[in-house]
Amino acid sequence: MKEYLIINTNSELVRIASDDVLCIIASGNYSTITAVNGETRLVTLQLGQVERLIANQVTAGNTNFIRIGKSLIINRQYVSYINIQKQQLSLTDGKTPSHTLTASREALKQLKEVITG
Amino acid sequence: MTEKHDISEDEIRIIGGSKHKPSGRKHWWIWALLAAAIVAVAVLVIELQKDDIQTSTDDTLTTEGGEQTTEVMENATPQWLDNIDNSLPSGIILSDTIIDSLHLRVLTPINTTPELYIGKLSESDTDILLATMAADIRRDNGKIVGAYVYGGEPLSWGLSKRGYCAIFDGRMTIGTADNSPLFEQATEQGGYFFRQYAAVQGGNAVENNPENAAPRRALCVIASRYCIVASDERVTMNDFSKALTKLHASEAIYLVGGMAHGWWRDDEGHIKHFIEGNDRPINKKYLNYIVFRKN
Repeated sequence: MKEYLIINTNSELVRIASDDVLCIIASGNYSTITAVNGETRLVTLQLGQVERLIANQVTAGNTNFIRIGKSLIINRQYVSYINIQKQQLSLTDGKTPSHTLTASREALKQLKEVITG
Repeated sequence: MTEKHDISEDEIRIIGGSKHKPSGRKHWWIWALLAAAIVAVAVLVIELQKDDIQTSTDDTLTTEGGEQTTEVMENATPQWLDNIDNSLPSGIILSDTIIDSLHLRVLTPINTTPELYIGKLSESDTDILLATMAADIRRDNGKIVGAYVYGGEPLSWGLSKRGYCAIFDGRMTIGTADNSPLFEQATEQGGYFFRQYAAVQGGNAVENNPENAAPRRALCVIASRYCIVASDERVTMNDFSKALTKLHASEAIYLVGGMAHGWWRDDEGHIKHFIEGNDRPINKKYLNYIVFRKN
């Protein structure tokens, strides 16, 4: 059965399968959820608030979501490329064009360690 | 719920887990010494150059910004603007992007009122969500360059730059023209007007003569919204203007760039300076800003 994340605020409700979330990016006071199919949705929650919602909703053992620095949450299932020197991180499901992000070198180094075990 | 920045840019955390402990901390003291040396040099350079700040074209000092996570959208439409809803509370939406390898910071004010301000601006005024120096000031006599109207009072006349910004009757208009009736309208209606270098006109980059590279800032119209776009890196005016067109700016004018004083409020209400560490404006009588106040 699919696991869904529900982001519920005073004015809106977003329901999305956790496997469909590619990344979530801080946008000032708000956060932008990018789905695997490229669709984006702005929610009126700060990234830390979204992180807590995810932590409360994912099932035990689901370690797919990783907070990277202050501005980014990624779904590790879709990490396709990390270049520490160029500070680049690409995410894709293999069907849609990759989504490239940047993060600090130190954070990417740690992410690489986590992914390679 | 409140945001707690309990994670630094250099950390990662498995959600539901604990912070990932980075390896390779054996030589931490070398990095600490190196960081201290870099900070000391940066502070020295900033202090030496701060008093020389004057115009967008003359300032060339670059400081390296924090390693914020940024979204890279090579030549893409800025999707975040499509999702902005005017019912959102007053705030500044910060988005980062890279156009042709140039890192750009896009600040989009939501539910704010723009106006100009002359004089030293207090960062403790929590109603101001974004402020950045607007019209250039002459180095020799400290006066404003080009036509300028402040609260309906013309303070400066003349066409030195073809870009303009007019604010009156609750509306802001930017454009490029030798003569604009908006100067008179701003005067008659108690509004504001200033001149700056034009950057983009009708979706096309405007060529400018100054060829030096410097950190740049511009006031832009993107997808019918006003945004401030800033580069931390040194870039020529012409390359910056081209990047703005790729960001789908339909109109844009430059603001004072280089090390110019300016800030915005982050999601916790904390001040973030365009140039990290530059929290002191220059001491000029006609120091002037464009500010965006909470509605």
